[in-house]
Amino acid sequence: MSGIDERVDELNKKFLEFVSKPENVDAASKEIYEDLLDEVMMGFVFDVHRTVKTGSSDVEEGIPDDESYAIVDLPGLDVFGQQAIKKSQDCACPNCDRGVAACRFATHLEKCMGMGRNSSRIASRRIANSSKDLSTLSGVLSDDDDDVDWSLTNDKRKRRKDRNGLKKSKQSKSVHRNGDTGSAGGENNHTSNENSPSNYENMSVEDKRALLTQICGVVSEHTKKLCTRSMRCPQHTDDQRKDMRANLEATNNGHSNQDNLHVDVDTYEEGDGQNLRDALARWDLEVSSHSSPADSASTTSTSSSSRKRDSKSKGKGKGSKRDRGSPISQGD
Amino acid sequence: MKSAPHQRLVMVGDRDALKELLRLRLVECGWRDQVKIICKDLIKENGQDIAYDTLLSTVTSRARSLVPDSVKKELLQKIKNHLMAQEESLKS
Repeated sequence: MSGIDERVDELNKKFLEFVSKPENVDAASKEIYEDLLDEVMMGFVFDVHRTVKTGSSDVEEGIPDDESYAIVDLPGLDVFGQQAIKKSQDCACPNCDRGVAACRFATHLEKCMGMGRNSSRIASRRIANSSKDLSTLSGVLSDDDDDVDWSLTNDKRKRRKDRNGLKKSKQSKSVHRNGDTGSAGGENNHTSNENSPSNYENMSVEDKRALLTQICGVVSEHTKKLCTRSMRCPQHTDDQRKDMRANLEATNNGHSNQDNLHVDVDTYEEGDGQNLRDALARWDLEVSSHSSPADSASTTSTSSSSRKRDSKSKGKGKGSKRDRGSPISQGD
Repeated sequence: MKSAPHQRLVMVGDRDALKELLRLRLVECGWRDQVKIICKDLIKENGQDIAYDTLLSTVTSRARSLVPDSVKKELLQKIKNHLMAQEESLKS
């Protein structure tokens, strides 16, 4: 420690001595400056030297372009500096041994040898014609079949949709009515099958009315079919729908013989059912209180079934009617 | 063995600060880029295999003259000031 202190003291003494002369100070500062400059420059030059040696200068500045890739921009030459020369290549025809320009070779061959595009086209056309003669009839038929098929399936799909929609609403409706009167429910259910719009002309007025509460029902001028969309279908106006319903009422009044009779029967039967039930209830007092509903139900069902037989009976009306039968008895 | 004032500066720690200042000034005034260009020219002339020592020695003479006067004067003044300050602190 003492040695270092001594040397520091010695240095300080030397320094004071040196600095005491002003010209020395200038010289010393210049010397120091040169020294610093050398060091800084060493750093810079070393940087440059290293980048060159490691090749990173190539990355920084890029490798100078090779002259051969320079784009030539002179009139009459392409970008590679080549003259645009048009060489017409000649092909020797194997048939007649004449030299023909390449672009004319195909046509020449066609004429010279009777081969080529046109002749093959003619041949294929001939084949196609002969095969067509054989298959004209069947081809036309099959086309028609396809059309029919398509339209049929389309129709079916529509109808199916329709029916589904009707059935759903029907069921909910009949469930509502079950509480009121059994016969009405039965009646409704049995018509569900005939309610499809395709059957419209054959339907009774009641069914038509019921149908018109669910669909638009305007008869189109082109297809003479009912519009089966909802009541608010955009294709027809409310006026058209009103007209349709007014028409229905008019026809109803016009040839009311059968339909009115039918309706009358219906209403009468409802009343009849009620009367029957009343009567049965009275009888039940004499027999037993439990068996009465079943009895009444059976009577109503038989009456409705017989009525159904009178009107056109169709398809599954019976089965589903039986289904209705049981809730009726429970409702009672 | 450098001169006493030099040693004094190193001992106090002013030398590094001055060096950084000089470096900053030289970069600011574009001197470093000039030196780089000179180096690249030399490398182009002599090929990439040039030795560092030859590169430095050839660059140094030209680079020294390229240093702007303002930087040189500023540095000289600062070094002198530092030396004076040291003298003052030692005397007191």
